[in-house]
Amino acid sequence: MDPGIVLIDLLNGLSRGMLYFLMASGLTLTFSVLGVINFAHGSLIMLGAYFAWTLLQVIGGGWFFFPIIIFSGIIVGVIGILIEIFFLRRIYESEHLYQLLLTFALIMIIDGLVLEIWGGMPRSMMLPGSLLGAVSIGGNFFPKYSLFILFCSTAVAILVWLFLYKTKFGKASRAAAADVEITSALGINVPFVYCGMFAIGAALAGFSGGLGLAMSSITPGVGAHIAVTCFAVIVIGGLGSLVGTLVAALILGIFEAFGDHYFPQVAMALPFIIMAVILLARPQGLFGRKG
Amino acid sequence: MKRNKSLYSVVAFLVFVGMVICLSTPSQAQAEETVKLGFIAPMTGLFAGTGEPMSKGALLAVKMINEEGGILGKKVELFLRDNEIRPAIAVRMARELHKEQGISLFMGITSSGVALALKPVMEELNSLLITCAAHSTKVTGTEFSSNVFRITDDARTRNYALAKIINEKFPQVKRWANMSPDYAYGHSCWENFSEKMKELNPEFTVVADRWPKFGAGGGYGPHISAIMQAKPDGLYSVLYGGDMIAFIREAKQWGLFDKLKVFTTSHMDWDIPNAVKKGMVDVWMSEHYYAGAYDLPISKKYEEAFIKTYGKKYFLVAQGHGAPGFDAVYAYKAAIEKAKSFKVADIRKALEDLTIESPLGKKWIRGGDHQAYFDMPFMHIVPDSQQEVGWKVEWYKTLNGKDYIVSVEEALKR
Amino acid sequence: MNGKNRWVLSLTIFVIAFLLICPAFLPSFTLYLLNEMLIYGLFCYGFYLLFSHAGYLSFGQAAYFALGAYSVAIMYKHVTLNIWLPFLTVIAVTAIVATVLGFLSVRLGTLYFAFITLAFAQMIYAIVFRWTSFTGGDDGLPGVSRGMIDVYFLQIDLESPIYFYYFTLLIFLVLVFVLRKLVMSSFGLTLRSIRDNAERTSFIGVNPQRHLLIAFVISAIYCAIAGALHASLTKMAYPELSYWSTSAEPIIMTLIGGIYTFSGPFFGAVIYIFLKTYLMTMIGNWILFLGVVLLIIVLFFRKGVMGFIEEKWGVRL
Repeated sequence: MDPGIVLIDLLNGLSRGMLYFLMASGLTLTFSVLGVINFAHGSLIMLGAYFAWTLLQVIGGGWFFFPIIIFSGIIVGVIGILIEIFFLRRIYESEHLYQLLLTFALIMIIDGLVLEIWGGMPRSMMLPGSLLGAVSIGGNFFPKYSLFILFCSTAVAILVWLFLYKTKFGKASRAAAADVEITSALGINVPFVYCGMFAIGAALAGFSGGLGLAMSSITPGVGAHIAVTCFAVIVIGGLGSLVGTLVAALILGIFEAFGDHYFPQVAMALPFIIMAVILLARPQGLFGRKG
Repeated sequence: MKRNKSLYSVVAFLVFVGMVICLSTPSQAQAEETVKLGFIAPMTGLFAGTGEPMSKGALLAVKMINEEGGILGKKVELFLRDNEIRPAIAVRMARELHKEQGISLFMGITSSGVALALKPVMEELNSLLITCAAHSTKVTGTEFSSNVFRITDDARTRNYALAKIINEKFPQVKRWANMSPDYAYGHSCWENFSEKMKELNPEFTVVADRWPKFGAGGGYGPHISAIMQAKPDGLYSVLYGGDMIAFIREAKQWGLFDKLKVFTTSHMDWDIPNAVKKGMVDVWMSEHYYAGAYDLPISKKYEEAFIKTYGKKYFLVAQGHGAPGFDAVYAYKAAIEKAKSFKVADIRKALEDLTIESPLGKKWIRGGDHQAYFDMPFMHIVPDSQQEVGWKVEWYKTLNGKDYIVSVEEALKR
Repeated sequence: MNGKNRWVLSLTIFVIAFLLICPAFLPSFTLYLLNEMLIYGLFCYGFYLLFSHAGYLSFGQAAYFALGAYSVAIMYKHVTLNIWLPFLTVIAVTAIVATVLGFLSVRLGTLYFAFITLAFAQMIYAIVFRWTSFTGGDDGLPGVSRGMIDVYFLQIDLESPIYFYYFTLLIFLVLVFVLRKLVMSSFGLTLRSIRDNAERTSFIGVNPQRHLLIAFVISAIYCAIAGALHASLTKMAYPELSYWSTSAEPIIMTLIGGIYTFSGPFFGAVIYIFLKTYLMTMIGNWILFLGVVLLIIVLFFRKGVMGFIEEKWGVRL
């Protein structure tokens, strides 16, 4: 095996892995603080991509690309606020089943709206000129945009960590994740924390959608595919653990990159094989807490 | 109190029965008044991009026919049903249309898998199906059914013709890579292309053979990397829809196209170059239809009517899938007029060896395999920064399917 | 038996009688739909046993649905059209696979159980998809037969929609009756006890794992038989049968019908299929509409339609 190619595969894996992390991080945050597994997460990711596409059509490309994907993330965050206030709030106390079904209903509604607004044709976003093409790495080529994804996702990961550990809101969220009653007793406005956290999770999803799908294509229904991978990631990493999500995402990304290249037959089932293995050997995931 | 509760239960049950009766109401509009046609294709989900334009083409044909007086004096009514590209739903919709609307003439279908699934249903319901896409040779080959017809070309004919063109234009290209979706259609296309290429040029060698999952929509990095490692001179791919858009964009980023002498596909939907625009690459391709390649009065009529009804921008994208939808309706019209009857058995007989007028010229439906043969369009697209859309068709040619035809016995074997 | 219960019994008899005579007057498409409703009803009952009584939410019952479908399709094509052996195969294959996967899954507790059932179902989807030579891959297996009954002097070809309907109805009634007995038995009671508090139940000498495993396998078999019937009805088997979206359907259907009500699964299937079929024919964007319906039910009609009726009229349905 040519070491140059192995390096390319590795970079591919890292880029993909970091994107998976970005996509799944919102899901982890939502689960750790609110205790809800948001099945509509994939749809939010897709929504972010569609918003970014529309904004690019309206405003134009070039360096506007950067603020546009951030802004589409924010729009999805706002939608997240609305979802939390009007729907999610009612089911915190309910059984997991109802939470699941509510978010399932949201998937259908969001997918339906997307079809209504944007129609069935696949869409493609225009990347800024500076990110087009490839760089030469050790004699082989690697797309600039993939490096950009790697860079952006890492930057966002660091920002999220700073947010959780260095800001008051972040600390309040972590407290609420650990013990809601005491946090509330300490005078922290828990409903506000819940709402804000969900919004942030949604914003991360929206942003990752715009960022991640810019190089590929955007089709209706793509949300469902992405969602399943996100679940695999959070289960492998451990529900509620952001570090776990990161590690799991990277592992999955790298396995998939090498798998697609050398063992395409297995590639399709790979995330689920790993997921099953983890669940059997260590159900709480790599970094999850037991029980 | 007790009596009230019992009454409520009875009422509730009657509502249930009522619901069932509603389901059973036979079609109100009499089948004698209009000619009813059923159209089934994916209108939602990942492949809505193929079903939607096809339905528009069919609706346009219905509109035009009705303006010209209908079929044998009767107006035509088209019933559209979405099947989400799922076979079971297509089956359910076919049955629903058959029972609820009395429809026995169906069309549409973009996926070979769905076409195969509908075959036994068509036979059971004594109905006919004209598939408007679904290119797998099996549909008019090993899985031939006297109830199923195909109004568009099949994977073999088109790929044989494509191979001839590529071999003519690029006789020196011997090292080929393939990246096609891993299902019947993908395999069928590649098989036929590579077979013909090998026949025309014995030095044809496959250096990379990749089969990504159909509908993956992206993440092709490892595949692209593997292809580049093999250093091919030619690349063949029948990925389509969102898959092809993602592939072109990603592969371009990797610089794959700069290393190739030729990139070709037997099918590239018009929505792909129109979505990718300035990111478009040099490609030799074919589609169901290209307005620039046909100059007949009926082609102009199709184009003008389409643009008038749906807009120019939509025409550019939908002209391809719209055409077979359009043709299927006209095929039924021609068959009914030839048979002077609305009976399924007569229509079936009339469709066999029928020649219809289509925007693509004359389409001949061979009786032995129910496959249409006609002038297929082939185009060479090149990037062009002068164009607003970022590319242009720099060359085109039509090749007639009859020149690549195999005997009926041969056809039924595949 | 008090007045209300007598009414419930009479209604049940009425429904069964209706199901028995309706082929005489229902048009063939409605009969086809009803047939599908019975099949999905069975699928829902499989899910219902596992969730409502054992408390385990499975995201992967579709795997067994698919197993049943493919087993029957392959047996009919290559071995025999006589229903006995194919259906026996369905039960045997499912029992084996479900025992293995169930044993691995049940130890995990409810939350992880849900995920691992999803993982297994997706793996089976991938296997079915890729193993083209055996399963037909993405194309699936078209042209599945409806089988025939050939025992001693009796020979019935089930191709006819009416015969096949009765075949499905018979299997449905028998299996639902068996399930009813199971659920009302001490086994059912134990399951519910495990559902409510597994630890305490173990204190009285019950082995929760074993009971859960048995429930899991029974549930899987119900789903597989439903799958086998589905393959015969629609005349095809395809990989999407194992996809998680297929697993979601019985969950939604049972919720609509009434998740803790015995008649819930069947009526849920009826309502969902009715709604979806007519929505698809009337409205282009049925996904949106169905999503809204589901949302309303989750927020305001938790107990489902039958559950709602149960509550309002104080009966047990």
